Amino acid sequence: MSAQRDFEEIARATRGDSAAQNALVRRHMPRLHAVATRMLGDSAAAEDVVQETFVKAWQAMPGWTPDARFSTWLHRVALNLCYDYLRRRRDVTGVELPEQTDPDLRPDDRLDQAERVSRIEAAIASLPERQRAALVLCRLEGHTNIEAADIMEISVEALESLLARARRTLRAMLSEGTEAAHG
Amino acid sequence: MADRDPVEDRVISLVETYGAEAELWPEAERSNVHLALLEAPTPAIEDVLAAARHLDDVLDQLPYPEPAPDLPVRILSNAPRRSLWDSFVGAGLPWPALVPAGGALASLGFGLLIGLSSPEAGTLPTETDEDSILYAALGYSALPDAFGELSND
Repeated sequence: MSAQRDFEEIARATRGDSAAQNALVRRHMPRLHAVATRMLGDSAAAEDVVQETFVKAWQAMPGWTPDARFSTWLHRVALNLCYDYLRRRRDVTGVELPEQTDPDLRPDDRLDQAERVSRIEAAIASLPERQRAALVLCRLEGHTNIEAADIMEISVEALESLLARARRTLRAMLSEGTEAAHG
Repeated sequence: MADRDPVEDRVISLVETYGAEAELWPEAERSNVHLALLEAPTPAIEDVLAAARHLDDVLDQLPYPEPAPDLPVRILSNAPRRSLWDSFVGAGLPWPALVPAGGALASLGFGLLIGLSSPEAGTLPTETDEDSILYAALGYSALPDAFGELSND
């Protein structure tokens, strides 16, 4: 969708046009929710983040100008709310949860689907926040490298570095898990 | 140590960063030179491709997170409300349908304005000679006096 069309829909939503509001929510909410869920590993917390993101959006809409993409702005807000949530959780628990993958892993070929998914999710959740954000935005949510860098407010080179490190860490974790299971 | 081919290096870097499938790479990087090395990889590229494919397979197994069905409703409950004017104008009626209603309202307003601004507005009509003769013939001549008597009491 063009920035101009986004802008027109935002203008109508600001005036209380429920059809425009509904269209904006239906279009942007699923991806925001997916990013937040994968960042936090907690669906309820992700829903809180998405709700708060839209509260901020409704507040910001009257002054909206078509300079930036609405989607990028929403993702940036949601991502920052995720970072805040993770920081608060760390302050309370003293650790970033979930911290480790399950050490008692069976070989890949014997894992059923649910276990396999759970293991990958745990591995992603244990990545450093910014590596996780880069992986989620680019690899799992299909944003281009330019969009993801824009959302994270970093250069494309920095994004590529985070992505490469995230993949390297995941590979190491998955391979350690498999070796531990075989050993 | 022999110099590495910069194109080969870049392909290795792309595979390690974005994955084994070229469709995951930035569009600008999907050049024929790069794609040719994916089709016929060197041993160094083959190594990173195998590791990247394994990770991609694992990542592709992740289910898409589904939000609670009522999340859109919760989000929309905080959305801005329509003003009274916007509700009237945007009530779903086509604009031409609002013209007669507007005309009727304007006529009513104009009538009230004229009525209230007239010097005779709010006063009783003055009795003429013809009215007096008629009232006398009908036996109502004492009526004004009766009012006078009432007001003097």
